[in-house]
Amino acid sequence: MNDEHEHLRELIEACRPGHDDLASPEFGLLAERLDGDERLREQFELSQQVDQAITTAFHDVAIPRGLADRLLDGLTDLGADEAPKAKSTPVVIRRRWLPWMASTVGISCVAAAIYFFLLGVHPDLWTPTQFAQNASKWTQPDGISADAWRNLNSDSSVRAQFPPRLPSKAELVPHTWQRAGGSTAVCYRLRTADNGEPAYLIVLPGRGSKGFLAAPELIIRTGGRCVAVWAGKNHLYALVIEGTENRYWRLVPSSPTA
Amino acid sequence: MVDRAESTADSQMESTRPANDQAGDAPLEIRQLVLDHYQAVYRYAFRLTGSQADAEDITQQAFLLAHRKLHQIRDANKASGWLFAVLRSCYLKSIRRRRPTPAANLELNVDDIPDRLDRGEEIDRERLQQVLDELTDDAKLVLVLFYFEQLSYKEIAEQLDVAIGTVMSRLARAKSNLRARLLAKIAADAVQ
Repeated sequence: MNDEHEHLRELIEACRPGHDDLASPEFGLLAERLDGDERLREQFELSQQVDQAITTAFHDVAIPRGLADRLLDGLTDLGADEAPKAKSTPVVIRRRWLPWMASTVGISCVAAAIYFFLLGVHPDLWTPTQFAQNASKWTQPDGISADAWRNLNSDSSVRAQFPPRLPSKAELVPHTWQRAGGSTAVCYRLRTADNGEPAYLIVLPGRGSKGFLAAPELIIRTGGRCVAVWAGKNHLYALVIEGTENRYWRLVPSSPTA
Repeated sequence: MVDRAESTADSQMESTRPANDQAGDAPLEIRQLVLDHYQAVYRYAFRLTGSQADAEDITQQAFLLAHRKLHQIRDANKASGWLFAVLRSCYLKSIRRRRPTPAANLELNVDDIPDRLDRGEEIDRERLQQVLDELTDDAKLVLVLFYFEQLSYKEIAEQLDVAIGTVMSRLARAKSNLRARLLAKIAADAVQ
């Protein structure tokens, strides 16, 4: 197959059915050859017809019932029902306000710096990475009492919200807790089907979910453990799995988005 | 590749600004955006992922991302192209987390393949999906851009941020592979 033949083949394949691509200058060579070569023209027409059939088939996908409602509900659940940011409009600043604004901004910056330095970023503002890093430290048992567990388990805001995407055949055993900015993060140990290294599920109620996906997102995969985080309705979840990434994928349902 | 796809989505969004800024159209609302485009976005997602659950997941993610940057979309006519770019970005992120496809799934018995598809051959949607699922992600992406979005090879090169020559050869190879596998499936189904 010579270079021109190969180039003609690529040009034929690049022509879209239903579009007038042949009229474009870059298809000039193909248009010229088609005029004088009956066999090439037949090949071109066949290619266009097959492409048309494939194009039709590509769009022939059944839409699941109730999909629009689920999508809209999902947007609401993840806090996306807040009004989107309005287009920024120019603001006229009078010169006499400048010193006042400058000092206010300066004081705010210093206060924020002190706050973040002393207290760390508030959990409401955590990014998925910050949540994963913190959750990774919350798996150490601290001698939790039976009474404390009873109190925790009576807290319906924690108990009622088990996430839909746990490793298959995992059993949850209460393990420990951690106070995080006014909320209690509960850590459950997972008894997994492979009886391997420990795995934990951490549930943090009532946090903002901005930046979080609805399905587990693997954030940490080094240091002998994997940590995935995601957001459900009014809760953040972290899955901490000791071991390699291979073990993580063995335990977590293997879908492209899970 | 993921970052490039994200920046493509962002640049598409930027390119939608001027028309509407001058026209002063009402801003898009997320509810209307979902209702107008969810079917096309879901179909696109399904062709990429091959499963209903995964297609729904990345469709949801795409609309969530779209909502966050909704204020930047000014031209409703360009919303679908931008949504497709966002969806591709979500898909590329998701496959980065996925385990590699076993090599056995990629085998093709060339002896079973008839010479070519007939003119009138109807392409079954499920058969098409089975074949797409067997292809590499690069091949699948270029085919979806060509057949679903019906982009020109130049536009595909722009979207994927690769050279035009690369797109032409990748597209020709992917189409040839797709047809061969479709033919093999048709032949196998006919024998059964």
